[in-house]
Amino acid sequence: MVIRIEELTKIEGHGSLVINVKDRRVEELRLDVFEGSRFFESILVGRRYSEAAEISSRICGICAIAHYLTALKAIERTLDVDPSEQTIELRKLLYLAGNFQSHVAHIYFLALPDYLGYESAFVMAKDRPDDVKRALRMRKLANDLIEVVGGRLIHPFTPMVGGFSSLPTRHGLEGLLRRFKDAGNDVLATVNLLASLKIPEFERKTEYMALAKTGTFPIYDGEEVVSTDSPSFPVANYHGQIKEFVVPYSTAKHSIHQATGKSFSVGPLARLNLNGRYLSDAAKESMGRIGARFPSSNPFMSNIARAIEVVHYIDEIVDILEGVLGACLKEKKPEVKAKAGEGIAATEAPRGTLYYHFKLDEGGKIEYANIVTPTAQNLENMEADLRVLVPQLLALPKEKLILNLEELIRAYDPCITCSTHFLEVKLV
Amino acid sequence: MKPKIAIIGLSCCEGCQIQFLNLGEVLLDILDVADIVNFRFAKGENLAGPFDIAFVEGSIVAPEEVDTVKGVREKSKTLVALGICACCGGVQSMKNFFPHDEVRRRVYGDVKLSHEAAEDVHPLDDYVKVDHYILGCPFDRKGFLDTLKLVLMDKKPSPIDYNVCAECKLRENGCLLDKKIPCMGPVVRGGCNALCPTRNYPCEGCWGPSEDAEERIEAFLEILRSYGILEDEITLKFRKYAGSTKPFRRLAGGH
Repeated sequence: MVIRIEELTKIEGHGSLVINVKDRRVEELRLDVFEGSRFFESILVGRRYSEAAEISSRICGICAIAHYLTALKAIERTLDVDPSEQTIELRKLLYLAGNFQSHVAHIYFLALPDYLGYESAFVMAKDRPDDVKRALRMRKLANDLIEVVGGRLIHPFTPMVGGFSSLPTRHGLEGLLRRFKDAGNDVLATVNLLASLKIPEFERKTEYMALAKTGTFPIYDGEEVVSTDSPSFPVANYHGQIKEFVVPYSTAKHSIHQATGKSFSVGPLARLNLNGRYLSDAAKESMGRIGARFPSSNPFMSNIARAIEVVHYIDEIVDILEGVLGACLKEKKPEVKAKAGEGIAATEAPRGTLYYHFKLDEGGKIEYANIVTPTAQNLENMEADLRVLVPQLLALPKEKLILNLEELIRAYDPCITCSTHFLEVKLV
Repeated sequence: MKPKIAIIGLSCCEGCQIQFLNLGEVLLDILDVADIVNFRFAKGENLAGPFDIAFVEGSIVAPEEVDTVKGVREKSKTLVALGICACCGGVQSMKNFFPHDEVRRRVYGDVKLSHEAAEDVHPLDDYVKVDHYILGCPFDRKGFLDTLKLVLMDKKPSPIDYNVCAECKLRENGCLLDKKIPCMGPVVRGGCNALCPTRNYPCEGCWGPSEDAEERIEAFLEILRSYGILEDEITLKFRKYAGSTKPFRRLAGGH
């Protein structure tokens, strides 16, 4: 039997799934990625250090902030620039709002319609207008923060090497603080909605990896990568740990962990599995109330993990806003000198750990760029999950089978635009 | 019958598709007057056509995308290029100024892929007739809604015929170019409400060349040169978002 999902929908980017089953065994399974290659690692070469974030942001429209700020961090390492605490706090705000809007888009527009039996949130809006309006309201909240702090939706521009081109107004931040404090009901309703869904029972022993920083749930910072199965390693050693490789059917790269020689998983589930004890009290309370248990090796639990993270993000945003507003915002023009060097940085993007690595020449121009995206790290693991899941589902009618496979893929929230830059499903 | 809208994505960051979700509750108003029948990013069921209005984001990177965009053109009464990638090529068109082999080898090594990229990145109108252009990176929401309303009323939106400087003046911003900061405002199309210069960041040109860019370019170059900005820096500036467009091509180092 050939299972072919020609064009995977409700994911970012273009890909398909092809599965060949013979005598109830998966003979062939591949996530074909035919998203047009945009060669960012090449086109960055020759550009000035100050343009790295602006261009990298264009890798992905849904996690643009993650790309922008991780590129900035790696450039600052290269140039030995230490941004002020205020700069770091404002960047964290922006990063959290970026992850928040991405999670809300994924939960309501990409994942939820499957579980509630709608082809899209647009159709769902007719029967369940409150849910869709809540999603739009939550996105607007995060977006307003992004505009106030970052200057523009999707692709920010105010953060620059060493600081900001312009700071948010106090008035703007105060308004946001009030609204984020009032967002509790929407966030709880989101957690409750996800808790009401029937999450498929499926387990596969998987290695999870995420950034760690003592006593915190790191998103923008963290210099150590921890794993459920292997010793931890410093971010700067990513090259010896994460082996990226090219498979001919995919314009997105695949990865394995050198230490195990096997696939691994990054993202919200990995973060909760590894750092869950450092979530905010309200996030932990939500987890307890809905009876969600982590660590979990059920990839479908990623959707729940995302909702729990949203609770945490709100709390952290409120904390940071209060801290920033408790002091005077200081304008300080960053002092940056171009020089040759090398820098590596990582952050926790919506879909998992994102690595940036630059080398600059003495004039401050980019000589080498390497970007390891979360989806490129997850693709190999998604295929491994699908290989185990498919034989368990063969008794189902084909339509139901395909829906289940799509649900698994969407639970990873793959971002093909990022990883190629990746997805359609072909069940052959 | 409600008009049928398609939102089609070619190769790009998909930020312009995500910008639809940023329209807020207006999105629900749009659903009252039109049916979104194709939007792969957010819909499981997608019709192949015909469409009354097709919004196409992204540029043509993969050879297969030429057929996609030609197919969409055939099936659509109105085709709107959405965002800088569809209108002018976008950041990925920087690749056009590198040898193709070198670029692909740096990313994929010697592996031969089933889906190889084409030699060059193209905006939509290199292959099909485009009825309207909505610029920006991402597109501006107000500009989009204005165009959508006009098209739904069978009226023709007029292109923005002023540059970023005009908007900067209206906002009474100080001129960054006067401060010797190489701001692209004079040769870049307005419509963004001078977003970046207003927050002290020079225009980098994400709305592409202005209508009168060709007339203004020489004077603009003179200013840049008088500030001691080197030719290769100027080349890189013109190459960033719209290096393959006619007004910018020569300065971007193309032919």
